[in-house]
Amino acid sequence: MGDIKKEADSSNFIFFVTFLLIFSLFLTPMVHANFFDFVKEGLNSITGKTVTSSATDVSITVGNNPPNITNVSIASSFSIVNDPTSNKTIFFSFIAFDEQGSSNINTTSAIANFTNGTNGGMVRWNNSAVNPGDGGCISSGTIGSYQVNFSCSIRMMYYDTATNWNVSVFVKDLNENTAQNNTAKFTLAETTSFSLSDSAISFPTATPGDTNITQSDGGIYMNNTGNDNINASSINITAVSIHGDTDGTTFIPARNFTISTSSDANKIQCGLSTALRLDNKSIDGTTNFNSTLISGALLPIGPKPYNEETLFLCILHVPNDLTGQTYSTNAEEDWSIIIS
Amino acid sequence: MKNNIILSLMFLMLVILSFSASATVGVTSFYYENNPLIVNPGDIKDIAFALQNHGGDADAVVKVSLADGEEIANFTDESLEYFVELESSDISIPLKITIPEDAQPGQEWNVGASFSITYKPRSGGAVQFSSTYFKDFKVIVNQPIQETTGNGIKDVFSGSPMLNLLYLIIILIVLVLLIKLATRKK
Repeated sequence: MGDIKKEADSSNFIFFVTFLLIFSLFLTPMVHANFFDFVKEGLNSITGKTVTSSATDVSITVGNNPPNITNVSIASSFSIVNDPTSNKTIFFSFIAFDEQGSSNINTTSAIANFTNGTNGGMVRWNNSAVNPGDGGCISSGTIGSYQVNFSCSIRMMYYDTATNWNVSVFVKDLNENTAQNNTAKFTLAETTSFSLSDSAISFPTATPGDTNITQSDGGIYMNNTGNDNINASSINITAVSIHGDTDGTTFIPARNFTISTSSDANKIQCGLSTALRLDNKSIDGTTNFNSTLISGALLPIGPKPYNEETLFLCILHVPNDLTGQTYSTNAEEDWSIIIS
Repeated sequence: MKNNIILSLMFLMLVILSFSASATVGVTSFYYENNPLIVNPGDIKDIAFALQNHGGDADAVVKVSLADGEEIANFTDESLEYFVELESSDISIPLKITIPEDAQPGQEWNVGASFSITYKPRSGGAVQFSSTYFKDFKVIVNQPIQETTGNGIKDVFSGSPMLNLLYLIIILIVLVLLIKLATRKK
């Protein structure tokens, strides 16, 4: 009986060892594949199964490897220039490496672009073949025998979105092999800026007691010159009473003015239901709570005409005690447009 | 006499708010709505707003004051009145952020400042509109990185398919051995 048990134990031990050996064989890589490759690639990927037919394109370039891009060097953050007639030039560089030597790198092939995921995928690029005004990426010399240093520049517009931007650089060798690097990023800061342009805000001749006097010029023209979206609940105004320059005892109260984002022949800019009535406010310690929200006014980012807004003032009533002189805020605080 | 006064008032020209310049000052912040300042408890961060003046024809004076976040933020310049010359850039307004040692992960503050801008046209005269900007951003205490994503068997099988197959085979081997052991004992 004992012999039978020993025999069974021995048989089990041999079975277990054999199993482990076979199992380890399965795990051992066989030339290009191991047993588990069939999980990833299917049964046909395992050597030994009959392959009935297979068409494969084989391309071999003897003695020429593609270049490689390393060391994309760019500052971590930038800000725009708040001038629609100008732009911000961002300088950066990268190094292209080629096993066949630096002379095998096509030094006129390098291009770069910046992208972000906003506004449908904003792109700024510097391909001088597409835009002759762009500087492209210029070879600034070799480093050792295998590397070329490229200096690039890309221009950012004043309305380019404040967010993280991806940097992509590309280069070819003389054999048309390509290399691309998308690893670098930078942050574009947010700049709040708008321009109050050159309109002399004036009113026509009036007599005391007149009502609904509208501006005789084109209104208060503003345009967004930054990359901060100024939305419809962000523009306020503070107004102060306007005193006579010669005799300051007479004045036009701030409450006699209305402001509106539209104007027409029917004087919509003067209607108490269609325009906003101003009030005498102090600018010191101004918050958007002690000023008048100009509802409907907004300054989106973007090029003209998307970034523009015009405000129209109206004098509801010319006070009866006004004397003939110029009225201004010279002796008072300025009126202020507030962006929050 | 009365007629004279009326005649005089008939020609009253109300020229007000005369504004004969193009004025543009920009305030830049590297932290904004979608890019908060991430900090750790006890951190002291020196950051800055920046002023620039391009595209107009007026110099400007900017008065700065802290509008929000006094408990953690303060401007470090003695004078907070800045002359921003036309075509100038990168005028820095340093701001120190001091995070309490006992700040909790996820705790956040809003830090804001107001910038009141008055313009001085180079052509002379007066600009009687000023502008005021409010800029703010969030300061958020860093959340520690979660080292585990869950518990139990779900984690064991959250790896690659190959690893999962290996686990399965090991379990099967153990099961086979246990069955054989149980059979042998009978």
